Amino acid sequence: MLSALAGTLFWTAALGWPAVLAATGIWPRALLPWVLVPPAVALAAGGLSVLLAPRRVRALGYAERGEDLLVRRGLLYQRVTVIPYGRMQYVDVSVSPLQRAFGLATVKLHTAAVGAHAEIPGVAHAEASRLRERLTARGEALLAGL
Amino acid sequence: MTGAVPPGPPWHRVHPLTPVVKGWLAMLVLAGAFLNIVVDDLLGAYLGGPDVPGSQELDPGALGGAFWWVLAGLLALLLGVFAAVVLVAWWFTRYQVTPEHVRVRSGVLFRQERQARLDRVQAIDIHRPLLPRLLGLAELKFEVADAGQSAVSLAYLTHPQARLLRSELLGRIGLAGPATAVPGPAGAPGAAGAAGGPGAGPPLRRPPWAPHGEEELPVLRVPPARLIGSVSASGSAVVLAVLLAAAPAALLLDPVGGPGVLVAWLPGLISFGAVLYRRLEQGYDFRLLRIPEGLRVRYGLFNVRSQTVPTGRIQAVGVDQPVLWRPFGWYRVRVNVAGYGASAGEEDALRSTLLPVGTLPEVRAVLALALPRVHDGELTALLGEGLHGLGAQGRYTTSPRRARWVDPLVHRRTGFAATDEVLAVRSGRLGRRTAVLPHEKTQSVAVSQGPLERALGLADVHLHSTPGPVTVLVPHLDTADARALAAAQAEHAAGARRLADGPHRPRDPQQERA
Repeated sequence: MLSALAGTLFWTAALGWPAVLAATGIWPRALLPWVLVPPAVALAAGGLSVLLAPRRVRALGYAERGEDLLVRRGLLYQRVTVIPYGRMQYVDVSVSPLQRAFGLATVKLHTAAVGAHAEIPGVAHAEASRLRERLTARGEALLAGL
Repeated sequence: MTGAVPPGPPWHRVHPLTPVVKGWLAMLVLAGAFLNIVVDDLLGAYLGGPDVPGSQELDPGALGGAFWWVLAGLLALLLGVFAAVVLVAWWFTRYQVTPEHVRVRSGVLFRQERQARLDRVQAIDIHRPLLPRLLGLAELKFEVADAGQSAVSLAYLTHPQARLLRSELLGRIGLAGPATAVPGPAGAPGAAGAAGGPGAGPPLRRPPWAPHGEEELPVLRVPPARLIGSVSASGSAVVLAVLLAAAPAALLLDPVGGPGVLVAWLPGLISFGAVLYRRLEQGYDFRLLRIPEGLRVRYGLFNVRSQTVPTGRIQAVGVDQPVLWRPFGWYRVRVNVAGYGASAGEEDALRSTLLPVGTLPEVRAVLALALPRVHDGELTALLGEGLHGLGAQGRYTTSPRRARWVDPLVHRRTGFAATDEVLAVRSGRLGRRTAVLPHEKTQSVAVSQGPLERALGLADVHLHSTPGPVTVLVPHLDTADARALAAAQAEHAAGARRLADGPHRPRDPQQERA
């Protein structure tokens, strides 16, 4: 959610400088209404994103099945990823400073395919460690060669 | 010739000409710079005074014999220095092949030892750039599966030496395909029959005492004429032609301002020209050969390359036909090959093409080799419908009619077909594509849905494979179909892996993480 806020601020600032220039008269005043549109759009989109953050968090989930792991995320663009245990090359638990303050962590599963396919952000730290141990153990048990 | 020998196989030295070949450019530059500086000074010294006359006014006869002697002496000194550097560099470069590793030691002041574990080696390739080729040398490159480990390369050995070493090591490693690793499967009915199909049969691991010959069976060859035709019938070539035509047109229309515009066009010309040249270079005299370990491709105009593609490492195969090739009936086959280290970089792209341009029968032959476990007939049907089929007939499950709101042109083409062994995905209306993914090579499956698709009841299914030119993605399927596909893939993949995972090498949890 905070990254959504940061993103909004960045885009507003990036798109907003023409507005500032117009307002302070360095650019012709007549441009002002036009030039205010991009930052306004950025603010609106960002604000929406921030407001929807709680719902998006609820939409994030994972399920451990017999042979694979399911990860679901996304509100507008929903995505469910199925990762077989035997395909997991390694499991990363990473904690950003912000997450550390809340006692959370991100669990990342790496397969031979490239891309952040399965990332579970915001897992409680204890649960993240448990997941990592469990997944690694299952991964080794069902290890698949490439 | 062995240096200080630690217990183990002897250390060999590379070919003596290696430092010359590696450093010829540097030497040339240095020699040029040296001569430039020195000759000026010399001339100044001999003709007296700081004003050295321009070269036109110089009369070589005016310089005394001493001048030439000194110059010759300096040149000899330069050559002597070069020779010493060359000799020292060569002396300190050694390589060793043990049962588990290949090690290369180099460097005089900053010693460097690189090693590659033989059981992690994915492929061994031979590269022959222009200069080494003229001297009869070749470079042996080892591609390793370890993430972060850069590839080890032995440069330069003589060509026969390199080939011998390569076949010996490949035999030792046993980089054979999965064809014979499957025990009689109880579950999958069609799979057992496929074992008798083409491409199956080569022994899994050649015993060390068996003669290591160059067992290469030629499969096909791309005639250079066809390659040139295919390169010219491509988008980049069209753009290049337009640019080339535009230049004289601009000059004619506007003799004054014309040349100025040309400057802007030049980068475009160069970049498109480079693209076309690279395609030509990488496809020239392209040969596909069958070896016990899989496939070997050999190509090149100036830099001749010979690269091995072990069948077991092929993750996905894609056949596509750009629109301009349709009148000729040409297709292109590319593969995703697993796990080359990140440092391989550009070499990955080179190794992923199994057929730069070919006809349909050639494509079928290549596919049969790359996917040895699939029924020939099955493959032909999948390919035929994949490349030419339209609409919901045959084996392919396609997007429903309502997908036309998001994808009006192509929705009748996008679809998938699942058999016991593979999943085939087709796409593209103008440029036709079919991708085939063996079930046991699926890395992960994802089903995704954007808001528009949700309103229409559609979903996309991504099948993840290792990085490479082939993307297996089925967009805009009916949601129920998509869910069924994902579930079926997960099950198929689990099942196929259980069958296929007779290990090619002893299963050691440490090693198997490939």
